[in-house]
Amino acid sequence: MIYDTHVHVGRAMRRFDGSAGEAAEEMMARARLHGIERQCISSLGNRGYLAYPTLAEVREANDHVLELSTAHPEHYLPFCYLDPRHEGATLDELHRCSDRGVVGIKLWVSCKVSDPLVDPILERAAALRLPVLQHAWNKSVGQREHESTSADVAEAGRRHPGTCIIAAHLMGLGCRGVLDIAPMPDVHVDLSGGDPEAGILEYAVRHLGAERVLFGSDAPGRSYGVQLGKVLGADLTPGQRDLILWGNAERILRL
Amino acid sequence: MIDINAYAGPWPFRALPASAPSEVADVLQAAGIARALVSPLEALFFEDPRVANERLAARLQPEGTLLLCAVVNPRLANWRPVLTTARESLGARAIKLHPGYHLYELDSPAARECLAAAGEAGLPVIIQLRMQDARAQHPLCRIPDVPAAAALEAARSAPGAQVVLGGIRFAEARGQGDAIRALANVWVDLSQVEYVDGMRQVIQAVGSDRLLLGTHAPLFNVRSALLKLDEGLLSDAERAAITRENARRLLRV
Ligand SMILES: [Zn+2]
Repeated sequence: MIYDTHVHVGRAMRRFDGSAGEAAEEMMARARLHGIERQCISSLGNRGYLAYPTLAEVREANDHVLELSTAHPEHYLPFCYLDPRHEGATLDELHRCSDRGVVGIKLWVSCKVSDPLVDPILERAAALRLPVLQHAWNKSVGQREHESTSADVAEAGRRHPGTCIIAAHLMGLGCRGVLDIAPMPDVHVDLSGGDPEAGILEYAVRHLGAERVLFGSDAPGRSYGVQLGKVLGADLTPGQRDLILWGNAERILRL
Repeated sequence: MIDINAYAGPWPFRALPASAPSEVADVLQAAGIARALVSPLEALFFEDPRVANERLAARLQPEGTLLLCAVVNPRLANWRPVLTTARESLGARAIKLHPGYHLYELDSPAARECLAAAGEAGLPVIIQLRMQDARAQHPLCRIPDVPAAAALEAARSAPGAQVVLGGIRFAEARGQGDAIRALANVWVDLSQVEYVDGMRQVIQAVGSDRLLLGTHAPLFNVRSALLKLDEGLLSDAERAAITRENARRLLRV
């Protein structure tokens, strides 16, 4: 059973043929083709991916995720989207969602994870034992103003050693990213997004250990198959591959 | 299966799991690929790509998995003899253009003449739109993408040339679907086409008769290129066309 720890949903997403309605069923079917039986979903908004959502937009996005995970509890695992700029209200939203069963927190690009605004979330995440999936990318072009780099994730990891942080997008972080987060054992990395560049996963496993690497796709913007090929085509032992595809996810999500 | 877009040689920015032609051939064969068009990575950076073509050609096995795809730079004074010798003495089955790396426009007279000459020589032309995600490039080595529309315009100007859009992205292929279909001499390399329903949507936009399996190996993982096909729920006819028959006709292998 493979866990895809990085998938997005949203009411604005159409069915694959462009017609109105949820793509949630099709996303499950397409994932299952490859043996992906569980997907960790978050919504970055119902009007598209919202970089600076309002509090109401965050709540609506999270309601949608919880709706899907309630409808398909055997498949979808809900993560709640939070914007640290909502300050106190962010923690209220976190508690509302954790009471309703979210298994993780998704942070995107509204605020660098090294910003003190994020500290209360990282603290509370540790208390609730929820992993924090933080988008991160080291871009040579197009870095957003508040987009976290691997150095930001490393800084957050240093300040919050007990919090499980998953830095998203290994291919976007590269070797520099792996080296930045290596000293913090509770900081993990996911494989989602970016091209299926050969060799980088092996580099991450060598420097972090397979225990700190998780499979994720970033579907629907990416293809499950292409992203899974990063793992199935890599030079790994069967034990390492199992950790990346499901073992680490079960440990972190306490399933 | 036939792979329309593979490489061999070193890549300056990171260690590749396979680099020498024999290593690349092993990786492809292990994935079930019987034939692959391979071009030299050094040709992106050498001042004269001819040297890179010759070095690669000398290391290819006769009748082996790898077929030479020679890189031509129409901006250099020697492009005509490079094209001729690529076919006649190096045994190239196609040529590849890298307008982004070699700094020319596809509507320049030399580029247009080169396309026409390749058509006359019966050599398909891969116009490589990009080698990697621009965000991942070295900050001081940022090579601009080649617009898909410019490559299509070049194909329109040289109806005798057979043009493959190398490294095209999903949104470009879908967005240019009608333009591609309207030109009988254009094919799409799938190596960088990716979206959750990308295969099906690109088949719908372009047609399975225009799509070619490409791996972008050894830079990309070969397994990803193959799982992408599985995700497309291909019919037997579509799979045969995309993985074999279209390329076989194009390359005459
Ligand atoms: Zn994401």
